[in-house]
Amino acid sequence: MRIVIKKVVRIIFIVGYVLVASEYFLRIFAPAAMVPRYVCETPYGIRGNMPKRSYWHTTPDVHINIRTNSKGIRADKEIPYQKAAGLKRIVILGDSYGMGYEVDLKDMFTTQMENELIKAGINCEVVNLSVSGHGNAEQLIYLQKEGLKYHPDLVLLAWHGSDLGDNVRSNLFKLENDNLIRANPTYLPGVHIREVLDRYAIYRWAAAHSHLYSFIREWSAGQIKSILFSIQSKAPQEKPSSSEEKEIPSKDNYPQKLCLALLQEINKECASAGAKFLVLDIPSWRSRTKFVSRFPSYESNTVQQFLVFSPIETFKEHSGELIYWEHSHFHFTPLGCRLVGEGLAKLILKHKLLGK
Amino acid sequence: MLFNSITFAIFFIVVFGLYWLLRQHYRKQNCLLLIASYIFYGWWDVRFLFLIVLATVVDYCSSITLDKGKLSLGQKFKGFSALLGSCLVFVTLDWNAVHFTIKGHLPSISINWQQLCEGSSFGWHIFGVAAAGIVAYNIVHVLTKRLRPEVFRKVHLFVSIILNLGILGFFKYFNFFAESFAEVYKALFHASPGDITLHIILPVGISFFTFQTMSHTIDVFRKKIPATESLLELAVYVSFFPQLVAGPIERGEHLLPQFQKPRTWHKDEWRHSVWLIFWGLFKKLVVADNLAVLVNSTFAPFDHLSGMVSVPDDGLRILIAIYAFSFQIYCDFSGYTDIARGVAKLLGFDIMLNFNLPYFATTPSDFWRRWHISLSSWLRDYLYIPLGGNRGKGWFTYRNLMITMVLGGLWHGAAWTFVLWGGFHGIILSIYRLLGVRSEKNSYSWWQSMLLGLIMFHLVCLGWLLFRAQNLATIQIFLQSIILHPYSSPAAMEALKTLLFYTWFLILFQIVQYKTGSLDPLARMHWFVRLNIWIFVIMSLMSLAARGGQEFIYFAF
Repeated sequence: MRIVIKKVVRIIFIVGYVLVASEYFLRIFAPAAMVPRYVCETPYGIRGNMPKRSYWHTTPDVHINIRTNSKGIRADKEIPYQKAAGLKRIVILGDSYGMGYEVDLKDMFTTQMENELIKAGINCEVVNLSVSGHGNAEQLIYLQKEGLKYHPDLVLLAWHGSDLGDNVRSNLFKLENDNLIRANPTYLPGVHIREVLDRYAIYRWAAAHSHLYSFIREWSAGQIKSILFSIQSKAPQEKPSSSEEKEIPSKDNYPQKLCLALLQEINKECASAGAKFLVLDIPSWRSRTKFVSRFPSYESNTVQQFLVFSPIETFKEHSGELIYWEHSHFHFTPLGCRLVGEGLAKLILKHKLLGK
Repeated sequence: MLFNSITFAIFFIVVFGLYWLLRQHYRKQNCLLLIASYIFYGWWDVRFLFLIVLATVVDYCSSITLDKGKLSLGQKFKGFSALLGSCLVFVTLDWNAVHFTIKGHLPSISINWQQLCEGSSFGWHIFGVAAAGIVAYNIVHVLTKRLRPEVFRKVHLFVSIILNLGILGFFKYFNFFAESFAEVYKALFHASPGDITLHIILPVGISFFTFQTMSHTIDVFRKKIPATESLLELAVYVSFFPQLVAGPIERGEHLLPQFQKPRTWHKDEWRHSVWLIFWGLFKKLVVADNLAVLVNSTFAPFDHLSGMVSVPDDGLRILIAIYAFSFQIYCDFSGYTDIARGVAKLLGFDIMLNFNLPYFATTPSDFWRRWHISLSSWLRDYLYIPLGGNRGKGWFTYRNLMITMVLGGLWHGAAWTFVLWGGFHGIILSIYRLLGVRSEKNSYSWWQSMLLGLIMFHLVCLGWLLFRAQNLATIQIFLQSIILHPYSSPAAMEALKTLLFYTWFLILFQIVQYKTGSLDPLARMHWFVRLNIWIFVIMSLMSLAARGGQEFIYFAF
């Protein structure tokens, strides 16, 4: 009996020691980016930012405070649905890039863009509805249910290459015979589990302070995303019910086709509400001198019906400088945000997207 | 199929499970190993399996002929039908008609039977050549039957070596010599001889398995070992997957007997096997692949020179990149070998040691007793000693050293930089011999040994510059930079930080190995120390392994 107790104590000690040693290994040699995501279920079946939260993001590069207002918008003020007379509103849809991860509120590209437009004499206000993890499917729903309540003059969607996979994974919409249809009413990955765990102090502490927890969470989230993508991307292989021969969308370009269909739908919603639609194509980082766009291209017999802004040429002019944070999730640095914000403002002014 | 891939992990788990289920029947285990090895090699290109079978059958026929004087009818039938059958299956059939994909998480195979069976005309030509080769072999055998036994044996050994070197020479060196010939022709006659190169794909590991079969045949000729009459045993010896594509180059007397008896498995062997695999993965994925980024970014601007380039004015950065390459190539190659040894050990086999702390060498001969031991011992036993070794006058020995090292360099690749590298090692071997510098332990005091070790390390690094450079101009530019501009820069400091970050643990561990005189110091360490080392290695693999990954350097040889 004593031997068994000794063995059990030894095992418990080893397990505990391994966890502590692994934590310190990461802190010394491979600090993890601790960027907890505080999201909750919204009434629309998708994720939204937890309202009235203040938390820290710590990476090897930055230590940033994120604060949300009562509607879950990253802002230090409340924004009513009704806008003042003469005010131009820009609603932002996006993910962690749109939400300004790894930069302060004042350095976000949305803030920079707003400031530039105000300097140019436009009375405007940004309403940032970005939620970390959102794909275009969630952005469409969020615009329909929440964004349009703000009476936007312009809807700016911060598009990133991860949206291609996110749209497929969420399975909120799918393409059938090239038509976009709603496939599922909800997509709340891990939200309920997190809500349960969030009641415990040890979890809250680990999410905010433990490199080991962050590392395991990122690694396992990546594996789950990959598996979900593989499973969901099988879905649109059904043959059409019509006896006519029709081209079956190949597995390879389905994510692109779905993405374009979602963006078209967002564009339609904007048009119906009298708002312009602009897409920011966030380049993927390959090195300090190489940036690539993964935005899907239109097929030759269709026309792109909305503006897409790519800051790649501007980034190339600053080749070799630190435009993306390189030790965590490759979000924009303040320099990157400034280049994007200024570029967006120039484009908006050039095309008079907020009116004369 | 790379060792550091999920595909290999799944493959090995399946093979391992089936292997030990068959532990009562070692011959069935051999069958399983042969099938697994052919799947492993065929994963790259099914057609090259024919080359493995060809090398096996050539070795089988020649070794039995050398040992017994002739092949029996049954042995001829086995050998020739294996050759023609493999040609038909691997070369003649058009494997482009088979598509293997993953849909969702399920594997899916689609076969166009008509395309598959029609085959390729090139494949039928090869089949014809193989059939003609069988006829030619029989003719040679009939013609040489009446020769004196020693002449008969020499002729058959010669034919076997010519065939093996012919295969190696064609796939690896044809274009090299063709291009070199074209350069000389152009220089002499101011005209081009036309396009005399061929589109030849280099089969993975050809240098390794060709040398392995040759060593077996030569050992049978020398009567060191008897020829094996089991085609299965020889086939699995030639194609044994852990060491097939990047060595070690095994010897018949060491590995073949292990296929001829039941394998056993001990708990201590299991521990050491797993350690070898993880340590090998650490060296490859954490050290080698991360340093490759630094090395490639330094060498890349000079890899395809066209026109004038300026000499870098921060020679320290170039020097650090060369140091980094010395660790990269060591960790890449020895990491692979460690994984191969660990995998083989899990199957109950002992594969020869290929690296023994080479950067602790104090002389070039000491270095070559520690680096790529299987190749250096092969060259010593089958080239250097038959040439006369060090038995003649001084210049005779130096000639033999130079020939051996130049051919050793050429073995690594079809490029003049490899020849230069081999020649460089031949020169320093000769110089050290001339100066009488000894490598035996206790020949010098500790500080003298350290100094010799430091000098030797830098000489090896100079050799690695010759090895890594894609052209002679790069060598000149880099040496100019280091000697004439030995200055630091922010990039140099970053490079130094990167180098130290990824190599400090390796260096410390190797010092412990050197001091304890054991390559497996973990066995004698306290369990708590072992636990910490394991945590470090596993966490490094999980968090520091390079993104993307690099192919093993020695796959190209």
